Amino acid sequence: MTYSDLKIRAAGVTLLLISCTQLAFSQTALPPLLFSEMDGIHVLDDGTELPFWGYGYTTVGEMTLPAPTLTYSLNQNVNIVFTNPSPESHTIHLHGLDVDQANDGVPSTSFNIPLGGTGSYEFVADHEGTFLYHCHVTTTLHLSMGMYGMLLVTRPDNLLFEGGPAYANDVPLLFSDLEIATNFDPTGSFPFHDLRPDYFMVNGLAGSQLEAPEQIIHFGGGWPGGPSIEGEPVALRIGSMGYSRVICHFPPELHAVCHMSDGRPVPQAFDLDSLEVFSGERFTVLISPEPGFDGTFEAAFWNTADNGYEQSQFIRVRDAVLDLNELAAATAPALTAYPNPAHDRVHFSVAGSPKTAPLELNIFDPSGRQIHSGTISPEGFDVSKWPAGTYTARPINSDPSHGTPQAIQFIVR
Amino acid sequence: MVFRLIFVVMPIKLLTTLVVAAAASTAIVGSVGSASAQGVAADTLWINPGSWVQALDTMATMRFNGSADFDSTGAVLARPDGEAWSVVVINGDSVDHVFKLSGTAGDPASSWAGVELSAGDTTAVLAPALDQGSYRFFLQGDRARVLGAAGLLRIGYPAPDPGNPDATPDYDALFNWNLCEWSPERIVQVAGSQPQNWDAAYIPKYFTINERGFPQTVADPMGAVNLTMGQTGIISVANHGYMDQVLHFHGFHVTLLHDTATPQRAGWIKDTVPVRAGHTVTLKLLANQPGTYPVHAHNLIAVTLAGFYPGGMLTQINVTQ
Repeated sequence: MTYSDLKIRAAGVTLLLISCTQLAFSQTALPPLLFSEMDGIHVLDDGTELPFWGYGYTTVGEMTLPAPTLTYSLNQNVNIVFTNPSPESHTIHLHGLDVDQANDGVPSTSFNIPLGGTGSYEFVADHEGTFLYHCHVTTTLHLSMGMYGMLLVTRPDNLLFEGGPAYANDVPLLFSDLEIATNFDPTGSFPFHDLRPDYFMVNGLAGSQLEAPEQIIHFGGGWPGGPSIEGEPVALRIGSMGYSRVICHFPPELHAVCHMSDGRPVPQAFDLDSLEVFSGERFTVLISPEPGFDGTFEAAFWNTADNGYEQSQFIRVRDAVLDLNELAAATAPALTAYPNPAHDRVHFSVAGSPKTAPLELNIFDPSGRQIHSGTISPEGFDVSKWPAGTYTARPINSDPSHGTPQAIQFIVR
Repeated sequence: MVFRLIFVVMPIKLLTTLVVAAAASTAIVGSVGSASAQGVAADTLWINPGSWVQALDTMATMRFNGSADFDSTGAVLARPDGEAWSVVVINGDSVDHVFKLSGTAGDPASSWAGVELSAGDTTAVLAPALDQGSYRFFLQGDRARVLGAAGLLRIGYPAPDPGNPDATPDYDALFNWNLCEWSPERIVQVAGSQPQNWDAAYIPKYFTINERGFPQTVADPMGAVNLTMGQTGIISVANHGYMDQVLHFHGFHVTLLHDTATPQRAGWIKDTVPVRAGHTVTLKLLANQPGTYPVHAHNLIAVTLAGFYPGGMLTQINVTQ
């Protein structure tokens, strides 16, 4: 659905209902930020196209599961204008932000946004931290259908909170789950007390979807869109909108430290090897992975009714330098040894350079012992008396990230 | 196609939900316990078997009450901190029981051996001194647990005395929430009329605060938090069921004063508080903004009553100017 379609549709239903609906919410001149719909399609890990209900940016015109992460600055006056062209009423509950009753998003104490309606939620973002937002209409069903997202309040000085630690960047990790049958048949989902999730997600993704390059948490600086401050920890913004209890297991190499919960600093930051997250809870965890780390941490989902284990998802963390090296290696000029295998002499050249250009190389024998370091003339080496085996030639000061070739191996027979 | 189906059917379904939920609520009224049953300084506890109606289910049950008359709302005990205390327990059940306490692993409550209560007998229980906080007293064993024979023990929080504010300088009101989920199938099994099957899927049907499901919870003076601006309330919460619960506060953050499952969290300020099965938390709430705000379980199957939303573990905070 495009934004134009949305506007036309919203206008039509508004006209239809304006005579019979009392809109008990404030009107505003601001353009809508979010819209809700009940006809989304979310692709599961196995390719299944699952119906969902959700929110999306009106400027984008498409919903996502979870809804877009909203980020505000500390002490910002926030006005979230929300329009609902969908066939049922919806709201936005600002979970954990302690907004006043009028903006709380609970139909019975605040207001509904009915079909065709637009309303606004106003508050001051007066605490840094990790928060959530979700629909509070028939909440058991609407959450299971996907109407939730994360909301962050951050500081311009990149401290977690006043007097708190500095960090490089925010990584939202929103755990959630759903019962597939309910999403396919929400009208048949009653009774709600026996809803049992059977699909478990991190940021709406599961299984192999979490292995996609764009889902990897990079650290260490230099990665486009990634950490901007080399050496600073990464802030995992962890929250849950699921029915399950989620236990995160952090490898010691991540050096995970919990600093905040539910938008408030904990009295004393503490090291983590595991973290239990219940529905609606949030934690801000800083990780300072060891250089070169490339691994995962586990998010294990547990059934809250019978405490049975359900499933685990794995979130990958990777030193950005590794990706940069791979990227550079893919584009670095190739060092070539010829002939290869060699019997009498071996020559070296770099693609794009004249074969007569001298090279600065280190040569290592099959046991790894360095047998040469320095300039190699275009005439190459006499290898006729070298023991047979696989040798390594590595350019001196090799740095693929700066466009110099990587090491190669050649065989002497 | 999905869109059209939802458009047509959902309003009908929701209307049905509201009608049936209202009917279910009406059905519960007759079985709601009295506010007086929440008297907290009882010297004597009666173990009363009885029957309890929730929506369309009439279930066998068992409660600690402050008199020989069965009341579906269990009694709450309050005692000073730092000194041994006693209570007389009259076992009105047909089988022997063991009276136990639970707190943090290894604390005097959890390490206390308990006291045997013979069927039909009266027993004087002398219990150990405990630190300030909230605890559980209960009868050992799954039968008693499924039937609801458990209560909340509040230690070191005397009732506020408006005439002597110096005696209670830190708070203005006390509240207590006994959380529990109920499975009619399991109740039938432990009551003896059907074989027990603990391997069967556990699907509780009712979720209560002080043995009430919403909307009855808001009429409970101990369950609904009514304060005026600037006042502070202390909320003692016990989870007597098998399921972990997690409570979300709208409009407020609360301070964890005591948490028997994760004692290291004392002092944390949160809006979403896990209350693990068999454990207790003690919370401090400052009424710093006016209005009416829900408090509810955020495992959202627990805000239902017989499957209907809203119901179950849902109450509210009312702050007046």
